[in-house]
Amino acid sequence: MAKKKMLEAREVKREYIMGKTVVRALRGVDIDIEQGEFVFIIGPSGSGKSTIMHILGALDHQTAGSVTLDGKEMARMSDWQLSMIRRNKIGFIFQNFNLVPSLNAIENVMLPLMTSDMNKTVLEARAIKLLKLVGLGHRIHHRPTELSGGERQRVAVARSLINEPEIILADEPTGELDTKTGTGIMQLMRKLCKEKGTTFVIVTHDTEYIQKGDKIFHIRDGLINQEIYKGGKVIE
Amino acid sequence: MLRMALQNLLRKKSRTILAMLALIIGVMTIISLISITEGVKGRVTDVVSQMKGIVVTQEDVFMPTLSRLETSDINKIESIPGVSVAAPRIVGQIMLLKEGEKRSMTAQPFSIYGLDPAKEALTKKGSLPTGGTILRGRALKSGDTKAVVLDEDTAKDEKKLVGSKIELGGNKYTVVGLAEAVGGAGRMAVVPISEARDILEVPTDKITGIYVETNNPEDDKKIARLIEAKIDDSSAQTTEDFAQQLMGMLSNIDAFLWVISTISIVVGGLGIINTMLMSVRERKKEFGVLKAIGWTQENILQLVMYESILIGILGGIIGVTLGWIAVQIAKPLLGISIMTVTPSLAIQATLFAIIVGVIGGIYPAWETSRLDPIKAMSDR
Ligand SMILES: Nc1ncnc2c1ncn2[C@@H]1O[C@H](COP(=O)(O)OP(=O)(O)OP(=O)(O)O)[C@@H](O)[C@H]1O
Ligand SMILES: [Mg+2]
Repeated sequence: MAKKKMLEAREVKREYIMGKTVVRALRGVDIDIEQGEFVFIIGPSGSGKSTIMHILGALDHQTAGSVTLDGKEMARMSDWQLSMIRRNKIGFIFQNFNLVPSLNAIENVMLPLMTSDMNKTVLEARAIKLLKLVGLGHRIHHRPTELSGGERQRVAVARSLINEPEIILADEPTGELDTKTGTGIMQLMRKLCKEKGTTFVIVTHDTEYIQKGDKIFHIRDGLINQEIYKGGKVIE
Repeated sequence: MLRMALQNLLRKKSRTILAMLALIIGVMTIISLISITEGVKGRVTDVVSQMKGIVVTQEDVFMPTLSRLETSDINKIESIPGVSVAAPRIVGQIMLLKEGEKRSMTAQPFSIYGLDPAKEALTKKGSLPTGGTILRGRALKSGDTKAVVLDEDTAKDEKKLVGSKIELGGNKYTVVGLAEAVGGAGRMAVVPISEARDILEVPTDKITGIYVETNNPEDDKKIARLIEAKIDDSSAQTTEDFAQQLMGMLSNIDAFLWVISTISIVVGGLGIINTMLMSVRERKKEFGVLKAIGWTQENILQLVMYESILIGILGGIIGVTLGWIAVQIAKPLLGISIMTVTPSLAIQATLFAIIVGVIGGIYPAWETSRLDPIKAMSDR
């Protein structure tokens, strides 16, 4: 399959200044992600996984280096342009689901496009379709507090899909779920990748979710450990 | 998005009400104060427009009913060139008791106007002490005894018609006419002067006041000064003097209203800023998520402004409603029937509340829209 390059990070550094000390969260990270790939980012706690995800997802700025999405440098974009990228091209899934408690499942799913000029009925139909896709056709009007952890994360998956994004960034999506529920979510994401061609970038601690053919980036101390994914196999 | 704003407000009802509280109180105060002063103003202009002449009373008395003049003062005034008529008055207040009652806690003060029908008929303002017209029956005429003209409100309250009897100061009187309830003292009974003397126990040679009209109203002021010079310890007030005094008083009330309104804006605005800030800071994480999933700064600004404006609208409507209720309660207490919450006042007050909502929302909305999504989401 001829793959189109989507995200490209080059020599990305991210430093936090805390009083007199400088925390170097990323110390020169190179990452390439192509369309339709199922990508894992693994690494110990504090190694910079979330930091690179935020930068790839147009939520944060690197302090040095470049990140391009579809060949466009994101550092040069305005806050509004970045919002538009998040709205139209990217979907996010978070470890703690991050649903809006006052809204029910379908409203949470529609949330990213609620502010667009998309027709309400079309949007609603799309949201219902997605909730059915993630197996929540019977929980459409439930609020987050009325759903289990796995169900909440499935709402979040449906939400990340509402804008038909080219790429979905998931930071420890199974982190707060038991193995069985986590596996379910992971299988759902694989299915979406295969059927819709959506690109996934997933941060995880659980290497058992990784399968043959996945691309893996192992981060340690803010640097990519290259050897780790030789031949698509984790050597640690 | 409007629905989402409303849902956000409904989620924390008690806080929403708290945010509105200052606004509600402000709007309510403004509504009731303005209605009441407008009512009073209307009544004052009514009274002033009805009174045409000069009212002479004893100087420096606390209440006109305590004033005492000599009956013979009438002749002294009538001898002044330019005076067309000087009509004696005996004015006082009694409690209106139900039949058979000796005293009552609920009785309202009630004015007795004693006048000389023959003299009164010569005045330009007509046969009633406060002006206005007779609605049913007739005015008093000379030679009437034990006859009374009631105002229509009193007649209604006491269930009296023309021909009914009413007890005043121990004597029974026949109602001969019903008068329009304009301005003046509101609830009143107009009786021949000799009867008023009886009821109010005023000695034969005394009266409480004199109503004077002149040939040429432009001379009123000059003649008033002549009267004061001629009769010891007297005070002669022209309609103009009276109007000036009242208008001076009313402009003070207007200034007071301005102060109250300004305080309400400030307090209401601060109340909204305060609770909105509390509310958006609590939901920081949620706004961070919105930003992360593609909401723009403007979208978030709009959402918070909607919430704040909704608080303004709801607070305005509740405030107007409570103000209206307050006015309905005050109406019978103050005995002023013409004061109402006009639609334009209600609309203005609601608009005012919305403006306060807008102003109160600006800072919280601005602060929220600038949130860094990552910091906001990691907020615990
Ligand atoms: N806002 C910040 N200010 C200062 N230092 C930060 C900030 N955010 C992250 N860091 C630091 O940057 C480093 C990388 O953090 P990051 O959150 O990317 O780690 P992670 O790999 O996602 O860890 P985990 O697996 O625990 O989620 C850590 O040392 C962290 O302390
Ligand atoms: Mg992390």
